[in-house]
Amino acid sequence: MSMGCLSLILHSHLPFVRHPECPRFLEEDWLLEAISETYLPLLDVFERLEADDIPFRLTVSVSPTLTAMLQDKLLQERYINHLQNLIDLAQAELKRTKNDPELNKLAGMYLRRFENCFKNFTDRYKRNIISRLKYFQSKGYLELITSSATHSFLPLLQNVPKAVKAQIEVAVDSHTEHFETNPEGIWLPECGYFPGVEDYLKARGLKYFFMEAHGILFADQRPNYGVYAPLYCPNMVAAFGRDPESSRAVWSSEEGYPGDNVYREFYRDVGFDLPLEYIEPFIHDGGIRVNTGIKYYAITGRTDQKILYNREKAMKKAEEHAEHFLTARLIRIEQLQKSMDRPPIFVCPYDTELFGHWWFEGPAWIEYLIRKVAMVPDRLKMITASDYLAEYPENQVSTPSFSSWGNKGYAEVWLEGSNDWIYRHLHKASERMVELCRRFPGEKGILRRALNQAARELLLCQASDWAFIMKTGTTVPYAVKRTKEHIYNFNRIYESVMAGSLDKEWLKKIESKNNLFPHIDYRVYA
Amino acid sequence: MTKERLLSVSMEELERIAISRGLSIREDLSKSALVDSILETLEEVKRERDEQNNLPIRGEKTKFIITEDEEFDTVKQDEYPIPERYNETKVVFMVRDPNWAFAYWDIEDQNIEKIKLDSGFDQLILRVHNLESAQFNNSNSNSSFDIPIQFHDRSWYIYLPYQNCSYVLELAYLSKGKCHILSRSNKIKTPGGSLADIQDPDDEDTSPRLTESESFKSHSSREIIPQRIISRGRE
Repeated sequence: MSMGCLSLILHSHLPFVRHPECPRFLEEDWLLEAISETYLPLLDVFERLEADDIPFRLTVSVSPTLTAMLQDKLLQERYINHLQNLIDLAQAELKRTKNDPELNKLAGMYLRRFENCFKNFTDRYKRNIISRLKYFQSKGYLELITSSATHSFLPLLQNVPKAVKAQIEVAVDSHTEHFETNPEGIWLPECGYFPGVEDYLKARGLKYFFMEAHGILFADQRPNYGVYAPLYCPNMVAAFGRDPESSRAVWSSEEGYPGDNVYREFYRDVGFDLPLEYIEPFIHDGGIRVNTGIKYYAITGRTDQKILYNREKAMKKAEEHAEHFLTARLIRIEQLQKSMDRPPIFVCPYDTELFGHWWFEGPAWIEYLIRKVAMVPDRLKMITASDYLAEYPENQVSTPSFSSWGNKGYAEVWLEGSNDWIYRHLHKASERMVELCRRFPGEKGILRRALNQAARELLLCQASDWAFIMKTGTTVPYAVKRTKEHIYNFNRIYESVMAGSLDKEWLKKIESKNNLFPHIDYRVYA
Repeated sequence: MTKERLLSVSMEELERIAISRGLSIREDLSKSALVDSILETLEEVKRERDEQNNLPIRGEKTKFIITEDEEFDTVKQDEYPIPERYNETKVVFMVRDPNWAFAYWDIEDQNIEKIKLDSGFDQLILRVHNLESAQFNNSNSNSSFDIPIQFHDRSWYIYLPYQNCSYVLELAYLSKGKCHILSRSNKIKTPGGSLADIQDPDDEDTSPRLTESESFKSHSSREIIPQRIISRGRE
């Protein structure tokens, strides 16, 4: 038996952004970039590990909105166009840098990467990333879990219980439909837990969730093993607490790995660095400079004089960091052995998009780590929460504390001066949806379509991403617009259904635009 | 926002942006100098904002960085009009952390008219009840305090002195010394924000395992004022 367990959880999520009304839409780049920089490189890692017969076991949560986008034909088509544009840019870069061998080598690296993405996405995966994830699950390498339907921060919906219920039910149904298995666990968006949410999870067969460390530590009974073992909520749904040490090592740009000087600098992109007349064909319409993903510099240090990125050096560092991570866990196991009568579990959840997109070397770090862990099977074993519960079905019972992994550990990120105005509308629309369900319990035809669309619009306005962006200030006007759009659409359906005057053309338009959860049944709000 | 993009907008628009960012504009300022000072302010705001964020939030934020231009999406079309309020008498209470909660409310127009006609009307209030038992009734409300509010107020952040405690809120008004309740909120419970007491002295030896909880003391915001207390009447 191993002396310790490592549970790596990659939480993959992006909000539903799909704009068929525009030929190219800026915020769709969130997805397109993540496919090239994170999802495909991670699949590459899994492919190599499988080919080399290296055992591994990871948990990957795929939010229902991300799943819907990865399966969407229009967005798949747009990804191919996006990639073609990047290949063209990389080829232009190869020409532009021909007299500078070091830069030229890097341009060549990007060209190969993009071409590899193209080949894998089109030929190997036939545009279907979800199906490849399913394959790795079927082989026992991955455990795929869900998140709430539109990644809603559930503690701030708790005063409308049916809104929470619908977020969970639609998520589980969507997961089951796309992955053809019921999810065993759920990633509570932003680790947002409130006492009682476990009842909704249990009702849909979910057996566990993850939470921030203090959610476990501040539970109503002191946890005997700290965060190194799960707690059962009183209804026997298990809560696994994040290990603060291993989280810090990976997240922190100051004291953690991603900030190392030899790693690639995220903020120096040719989309911003090169003259407009050259870069214009490759950036956004109207000369709006965007990240292209071609970045030539290393972090270097606190200076604007960045040195060129050296891939070999960066890979060597990633391997060192994987070794460091493993050693730190092994030391911790020894310390914990004195006070535990079972192997500790290190729960290490990260946003998947951190790896590759922001921390360019992240996927390589994961690969090195997995290969190293595979060499010490008697000391550390990679497992999932389900594996752990199968092996250790007896756990302490205690109600965890309301918590999140956001600033100061509670709801402050999603409830503050910039975003608190949304809740009046989110709650009101939720109540109105429940009312619609009561008044129209078994509709057919156009009315049923309208009610189903109302449910979609409601779920979309509840995405935690909009409040998050309003607070963190990246693309605020878009987040505000999206919140208002879905509330407006919902209200319009509500009012017209109540008045018996549906605008069929308009309904058709929003159905084809906001087309996620095609099989939703509005009675999920009953 | 990139410098070249700022340089491409009109002086008038630049001035509007500068004013909206709280910059004072000198008459003799050149376009380039104005752009520099806007960029400097933006950089500072960005830095301050990032400093408030913990690691997961900083990491998550990078998912949404595509360009530097969007913050100035100055188009003011209200493509999707939504109501400011729903004209109902209602108060909702939301727990935010161990010491702060948020309340929003509304009072139906006809109720407002009625209250204004009450000759003894003194003050509109939020009455915060600290509950000991789960079931709230007027007799077991063991303490309460009032927050005076105005008719145009619609939301408020409320400091709650006790952790691990249930609270309920009443939207009410005082008239001739009597309290008239307009609406009562849902009940909330503040998180404990600390380790639970040890119930079995034999469990004392488990404490060393929890030493890491030291690092979570900063999670309790009991002495920290919310970053942006909402201003009255803002909606």
